[in-house]
Amino acid sequence: MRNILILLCVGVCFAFIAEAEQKVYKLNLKVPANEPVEIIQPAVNSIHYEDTASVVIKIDPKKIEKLEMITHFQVFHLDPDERIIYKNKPKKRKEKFNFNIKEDKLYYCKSIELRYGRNKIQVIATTKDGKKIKKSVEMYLSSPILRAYKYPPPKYKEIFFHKEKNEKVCEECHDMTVNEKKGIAFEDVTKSNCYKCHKALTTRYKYNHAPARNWLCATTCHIGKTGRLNKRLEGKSKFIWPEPQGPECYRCHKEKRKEWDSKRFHHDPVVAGMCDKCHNPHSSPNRYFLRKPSWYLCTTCHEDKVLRGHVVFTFLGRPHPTRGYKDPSNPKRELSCISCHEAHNSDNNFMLLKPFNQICNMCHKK
Amino acid sequence: MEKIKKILGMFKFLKNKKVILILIVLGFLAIIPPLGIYAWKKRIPQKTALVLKNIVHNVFLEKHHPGDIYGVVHIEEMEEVELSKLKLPPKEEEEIKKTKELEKELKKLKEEEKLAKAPKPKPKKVVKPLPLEEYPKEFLPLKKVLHRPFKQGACAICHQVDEHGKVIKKGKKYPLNRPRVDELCYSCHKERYVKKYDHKPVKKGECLKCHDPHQSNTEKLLKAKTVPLLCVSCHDPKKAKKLKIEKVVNINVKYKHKPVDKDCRNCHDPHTSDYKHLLITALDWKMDFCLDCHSKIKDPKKRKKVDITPLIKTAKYKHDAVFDKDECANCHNIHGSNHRIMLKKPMVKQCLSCHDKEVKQKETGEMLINMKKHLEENKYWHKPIKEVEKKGGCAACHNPHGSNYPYALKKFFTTEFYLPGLKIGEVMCFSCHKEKERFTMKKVFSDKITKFRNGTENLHWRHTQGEKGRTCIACHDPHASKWPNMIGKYTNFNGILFPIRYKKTETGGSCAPACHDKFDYDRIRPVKNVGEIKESFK
Repeated sequence: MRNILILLCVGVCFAFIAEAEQKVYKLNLKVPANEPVEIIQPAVNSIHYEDTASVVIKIDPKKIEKLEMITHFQVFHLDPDERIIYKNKPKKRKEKFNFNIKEDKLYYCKSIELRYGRNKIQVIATTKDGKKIKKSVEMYLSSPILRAYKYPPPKYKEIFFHKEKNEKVCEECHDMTVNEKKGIAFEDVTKSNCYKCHKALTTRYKYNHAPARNWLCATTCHIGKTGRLNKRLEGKSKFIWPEPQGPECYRCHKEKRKEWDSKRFHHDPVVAGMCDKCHNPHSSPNRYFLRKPSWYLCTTCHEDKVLRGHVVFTFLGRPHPTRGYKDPSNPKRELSCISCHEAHNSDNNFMLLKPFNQICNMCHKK
Repeated sequence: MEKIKKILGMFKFLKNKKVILILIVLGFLAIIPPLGIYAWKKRIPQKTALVLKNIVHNVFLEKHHPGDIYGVVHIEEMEEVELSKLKLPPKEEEEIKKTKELEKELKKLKEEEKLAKAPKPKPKKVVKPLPLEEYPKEFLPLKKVLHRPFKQGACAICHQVDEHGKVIKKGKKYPLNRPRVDELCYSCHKERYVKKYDHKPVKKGECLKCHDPHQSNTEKLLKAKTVPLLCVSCHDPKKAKKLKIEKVVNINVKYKHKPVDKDCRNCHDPHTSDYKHLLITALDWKMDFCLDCHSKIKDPKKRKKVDITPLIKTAKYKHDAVFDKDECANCHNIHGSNHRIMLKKPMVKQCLSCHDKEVKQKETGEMLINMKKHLEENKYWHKPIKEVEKKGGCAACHNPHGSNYPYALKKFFTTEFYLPGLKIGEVMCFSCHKEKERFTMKKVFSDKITKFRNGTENLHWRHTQGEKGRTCIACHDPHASKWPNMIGKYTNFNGILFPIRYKKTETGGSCAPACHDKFDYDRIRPVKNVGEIKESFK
C-alpha cells in the first residue's frame, strides 16, 4: 500500500510541475511592443536565391516624419566569377532610397537589388521630436554554382514569406489569391497578382523564360510540392517548388526528354534533373537563360581545364585555345566549350558533337 | 718519296689563283643545272614558296581563321535546298509506260476469253398471241407487256364465262372465278409468300394495288412507269399522311441516291422478307448494309465510289458519330436529300449540330473545343468554312468517317510545336497553300510572296527553317480568328496556351507570345528588336 501511495504522490507532483511549466510558458508569450518602425520583410538572417528582394516597412505615421533606407554590400574585392556578372554595374557599396510619407499609409514597399554574399538593409527614421531610430536586417544571397557562395554560413536559414499568417499583413492593399487558369496564360500580364510585387524578376534582363514572363507561377513550377532533395521544406511555404526540378521542366520540354533518353552518355546534372544548376528559370542576360556565359559556366566546375590547359599542347607548352576566337564551324558564335562538346547528352566519347576522328576536321580542314 | 714529289709537281699550276677561280666556276656550272632539275622534279621550290608566303601572310597581314581560306559549308546553306520533288529518270518512266500498255493488252485478251466461254442464252418458248381483232375494245391499243392468259385470250382462267366463252358483266364489274383476288393469283403463281415480315398490301391480299392483271408498259405488269414512282404513290410524304403510313421517302430532291433513283428493289423486297424493313440481305441496315456497296471501287477516276471500310473500321482515329445510334443515318439521309453528299443539313451546320459543346475524343481523351462558340466569337473564317459550296466545308480538311491522322485529318499533320525544316513540305496545309517561295527564300522583296517580313528578311522563312522549324499551327488557327490571315489567339507549347497578342499596323505589326518579347516588323523601315536571337560575332 505504501509503495502505491508513494507512486501516486510522485505522479501528482509531476503533473503539477508540468502544468506549472506550461503556465509559465503561456505567461511568457511575447507581446510586440508598439514600435514606430518595423521591418516586416525580408526576415532576419534569411537566404535568398534571386538577386532581387522586396522590402516591407511598417511605420506609425503619426510619430514619424522622414524615412530613409540604405543597402550595404559585403564586397571588398570582386572574384573572377563576379567580374563577369557585375561587368557594367557600378561598384558602389551603398545605395540610398527615400520614401515619401503619407498620413494614412502604414506600409511601404520597395524592391531592391542584392549582390552575392552578405547584404545589409538599414532603415533610418526621424521622429517628429527629432530623434533618429535605426533598424537593420541582414540576409544572404547564395548561388547554386558560384563556389564562394554555394554554402552560406550556418547563421543564415531558409525562411519563406508566403504563409497564411504572413499574408494577412499584405491583404489590405494586395490580392493574395492565385488568379491563374491552369494552362492558359494572361492576355494582359499586369493583371496577375504575382506581378505587382515580383515584377523585377522579369523586367531586369534581356532573355526571359516564357512561363515566368507570362506569370504562370503557381500552376507550372511553384506548385507547392516538394521533391526528393527538399523534403525538409515541406509545408513551409505555399509556393514551394520541387527539387530536383527536372520532371517539372520535362512537362513542357517533352521532345528533349525523348531525344536525350536515347543517347549513350549523359551529363551528371542532367541525370540528376538539376536543370536549375546552369539555367536560371526566370530570366538571364545570357542566351538559353544560362547563369553565366557558356565558357565561364563550364569552367566553374571543370576548373582543371583552365589551370592545366585543354586538349593538345605546342612544343612550347601553349594549349589549344578554348575561347577568344571566332568559331570556325559556326560563324555566328564565339569559340567556347559548346563548339566541340554537347552540354546535355551525346552518343560519342567525351560528350563530343561528332565521333572522335571527325571532330578536328570540323575546323582543321585538309 | 720522290714519286710523291713528282706527282705533287704536276699540281704546280694550281698555285695560280686565277686557275683556281676558273676551276671553281666551271665546277659550279656543271653541278647546278642537274641539281636544279632534280629539285624541280621533287617540287622543292614550289613548296618553299608556299611556306614563305604563308609565313608572310601570317606575320604581316591580317589574322585569319581556317574558315577564311578553306570553304566551310554551313548548316544554313544546306537548308536552302529546294523542296521541289525529284523527278524519275526518263529511262524508268519509259519502262513504266511499257508495263502499263502490256497490262492493257492482257486485260483485253482475258475479256475475249470470257466472252468465248460464256454459255449462250436459251431460246424462249413462243406463245401464240390472239389476233388483234379479238381483244375487247377497251384494251386497245395493246401495251408492251401482256399477262400470258390475257395474251392467249384465255379469259376463262380468271373471269366467269358464259356458254359462248364471253365474259359476264354484272353492273360495272366483271365477276371472278373466286371470291378473293389473292386466292385467284396464288392458284397459278404457286410460291406463296410466307416469310417473317410482309408488305402490307401483300398481307391484305391486295395484289391489284400494284399490278395490272391485263397489260402494262413496264415489266411485271406494274401500274406506274417505274418502280420508284409506283412506291412513291403511297410512300410520298404528302400522300403518306392521308394513308397513315409511317415510312416516308422523298424522291424529288436535288441529290439522289442512285440505287433509289433506279429501282427500289436494289435493297427492298416488294413482297416479303425475313429481315426488317423488307431488306434483301441479313446485313444490319445501319452500316454493314451500306458498306456492302460502298466497299467496291468502280471508277477510281470519278471518285464517286470510294472504299470506306478501312476508314471506318481500321483507322486509328474514329468519328464517334459513325458508331452512334443510327450509324450512317446520323448524318446521311439514305434515300436522298437536298444538300450535298445526301446530308440531312448543309455541311457546316450538320457538323455543328454535335460540335456545339465540348466533345471528348475517345482515343486520346482530349477535349475538343466548342466549335460553334469559336466560330461565333471570331469573325474571320477559314475559306473552306466560309465558302462551303466551292471549297468543300469541313470535309476539305477532315475526313468525317475516320482517318489515320490526328483529328481525322486527310493528310499528315502534327499539333506539335517543332518540326524539322525540310519535313514541313509534307504537312497537309501545303496541299492548298502552294506558295513554295514563302518558305524557301531568305530574302523577299515583293508583297506577293509574303507580307510578313522585316525589311527584306522573310520572317516566314525564319520561323519555319532549321532544326527548330515551327509548324503552321504554332501561329495560325485553322478555323477562325480575330485578326485577318488566320492568326490564332494562343500558341500551344506542349500543353500551355500562351496568347500571341498580335497587333497590326499599316506597314507591319507586332506580336508578343511566349517565344520572345514584343517583336516588331516593318516592311519599309526594318526594326531591330531587343533580345533578338540572331547574334553576330563582333
